[in-house]
Amino acid sequence: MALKPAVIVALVLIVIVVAGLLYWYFVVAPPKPTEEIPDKITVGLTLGLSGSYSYASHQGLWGIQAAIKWINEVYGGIKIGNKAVKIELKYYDDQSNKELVSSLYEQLINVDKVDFLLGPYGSPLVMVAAPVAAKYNKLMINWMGTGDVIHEQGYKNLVMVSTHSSYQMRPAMEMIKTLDPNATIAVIFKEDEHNRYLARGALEEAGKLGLSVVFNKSYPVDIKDFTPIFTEMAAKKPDVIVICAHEADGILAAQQLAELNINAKLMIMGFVPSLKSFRDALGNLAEGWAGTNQWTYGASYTPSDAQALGYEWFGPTEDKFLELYNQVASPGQFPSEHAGAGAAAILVLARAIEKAQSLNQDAVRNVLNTMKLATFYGLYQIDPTTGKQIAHKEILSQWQGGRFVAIWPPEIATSRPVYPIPTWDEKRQGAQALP
Amino acid sequence: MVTAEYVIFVTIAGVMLGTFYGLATIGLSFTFGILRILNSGHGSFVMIGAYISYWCFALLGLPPLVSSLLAFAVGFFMGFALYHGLISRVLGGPELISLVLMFAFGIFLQEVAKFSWSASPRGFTWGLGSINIFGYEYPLTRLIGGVVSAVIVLVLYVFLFRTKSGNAIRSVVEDPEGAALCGVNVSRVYALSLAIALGLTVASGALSTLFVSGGIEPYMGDPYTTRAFAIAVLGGLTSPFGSFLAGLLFGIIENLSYMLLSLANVGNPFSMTRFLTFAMILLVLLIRPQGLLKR
Repeated sequence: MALKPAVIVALVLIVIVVAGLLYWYFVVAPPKPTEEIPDKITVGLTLGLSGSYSYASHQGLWGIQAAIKWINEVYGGIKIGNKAVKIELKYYDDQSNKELVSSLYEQLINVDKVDFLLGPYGSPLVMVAAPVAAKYNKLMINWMGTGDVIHEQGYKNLVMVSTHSSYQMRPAMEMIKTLDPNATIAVIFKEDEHNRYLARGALEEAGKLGLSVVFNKSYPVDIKDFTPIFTEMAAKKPDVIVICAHEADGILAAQQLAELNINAKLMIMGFVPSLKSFRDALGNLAEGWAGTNQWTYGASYTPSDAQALGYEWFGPTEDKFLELYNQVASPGQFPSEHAGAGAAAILVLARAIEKAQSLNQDAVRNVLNTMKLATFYGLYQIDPTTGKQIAHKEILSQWQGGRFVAIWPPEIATSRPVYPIPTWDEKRQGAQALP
Repeated sequence: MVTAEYVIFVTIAGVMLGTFYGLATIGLSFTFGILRILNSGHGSFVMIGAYISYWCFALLGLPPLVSSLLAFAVGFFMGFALYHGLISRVLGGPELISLVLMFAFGIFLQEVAKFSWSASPRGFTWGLGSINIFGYEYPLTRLIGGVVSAVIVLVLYVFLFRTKSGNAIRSVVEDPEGAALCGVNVSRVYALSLAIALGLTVASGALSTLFVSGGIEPYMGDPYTTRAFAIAVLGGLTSPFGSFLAGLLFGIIENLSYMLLSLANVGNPFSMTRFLTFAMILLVLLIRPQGLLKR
């Protein structure tokens, strides 16, 4: 039976339409938004639990665990839709070894299938981890890789919660300018990336504020004797000595300044004066020493600070954080700035996920671009292009009467700066730096 | 302005630091010179000594001078135990095996220290004040550290050249088979040598706190290993006294070159100091590939 041409045309048209519809449905049409909210959100990172970053990494881990405890047990989980989702942590020991970092982050992403990443501790290791996160378009919260250069590489999914190295000494310069506009400054720094940036920031800010820098020299990483450099510096008679150092060399520098009896109206170091070993090593000679920190217990932001500054508050208060920290940390430990930074990274990430109502990396990253948040650790706001932190401020603290108290910035200071500080001889006689 | 007094002062500071560098290296050369073992875990033994000094001071109030004796005893015992437990099994084998073995043992010590005392850096102060040298203040602890380091090396010299055990050690160094034929218990000499070497290294760790009494933590030894290898190569690697001499030179050059570079108005003299120090090593090795002294 021959078909009529009209029927043939109609059949052909029907076949074409059906085929077109099938093609559109299976190939062209975008998938329906099927994002299911999981029962848990896994956050992964590596930490130098052994090796030279062990101290800071352990502190960071305890801070992270304390913040997760707050979110899961106190806050009740991250609120997405009608669900309250708990955070689970997955971490590996990178042995403070950058050769291991790359493969461990590959494992976190491809084998453990973590939802989000935190960076490892330390700039050299973050430099290795960041490209891996970028390769898989995974969001990475950088909590303590403070080297400026990391965020100048174009990694779009890297977000920082702490102050970058070159900004850490700037508040100290502001304070000096306020205390003594005509002060002369000596800057001495260790020849590593972090301290070089620290010194660069100090020098730039000093120049901007019109402070006079009379001495500016570096020293090698494995220094054992500061005698030549200090003897040369002493001839310049600076009012303020600024030292950019790490633990061992920083303590050595302070001890040798005392031994060589070189006095100044104020002595400032990076984070070293906040360490217990600094006070143990110097005893009463630590009086008057000032140090900069990302955070220090006793100088935390509060919900009312956040409100006054126009930032949204999220997370535990300082005291609650300490309580939770003590539940996860080894006995006898006290939270350092590293613990605060680790906690802040988790809190910032959790709040961004809540605001995005999604686990989509780009959606959360977009929220992080504009979010203004305050935690006990300080303020959070980033430059959307680089992911650099622009709101968090270093806290300057000073040993006063056996206590390391916050003296700058004024909004969270708990004491006034002592300037000039007692001389070494006065401190040997028992004098304390009291405002 | 540089005066003669300033030059003398900086030289004295360099000598004190140099004697300590020498002592901290001598154990490395001793081990290699006698047992042909490269102690790549050297810095970890220095770290153990620093902890001994710290705990003796913190718990018992003992100054580093006293605790260095205890540190020597601990290192001596460790040397014997290590020899009989591990080293004797790999002795005579490829040097790479002992190199890896000591590297692994060094990491083991670091992790044991971290497990026992945590990774938190520690420090203490044994303030003895300073003395005035030509108008410049110099800390007494450093002076004592330098002098005691020199005395220990002198005692080692007397032991090696004026005692029967010392003669036995030197005979084994010269010809182990000949020494064995003459009745020397070579295995015992090896054990004794490792014990002395590690005793000296751990004691140097305790004395290191006279120079740097802060930043005592499980991984503090790594820079000591690097520096000790450089100094030992300069000294002749197999010669303990060559190492001491090289350490002395290292300290003096480090300090004096800073002064000279400052005079020349070099931007960052300390960076150039390291360059000059290692350039000197290269120069010496070009002229004397065997190092400053032979065994």
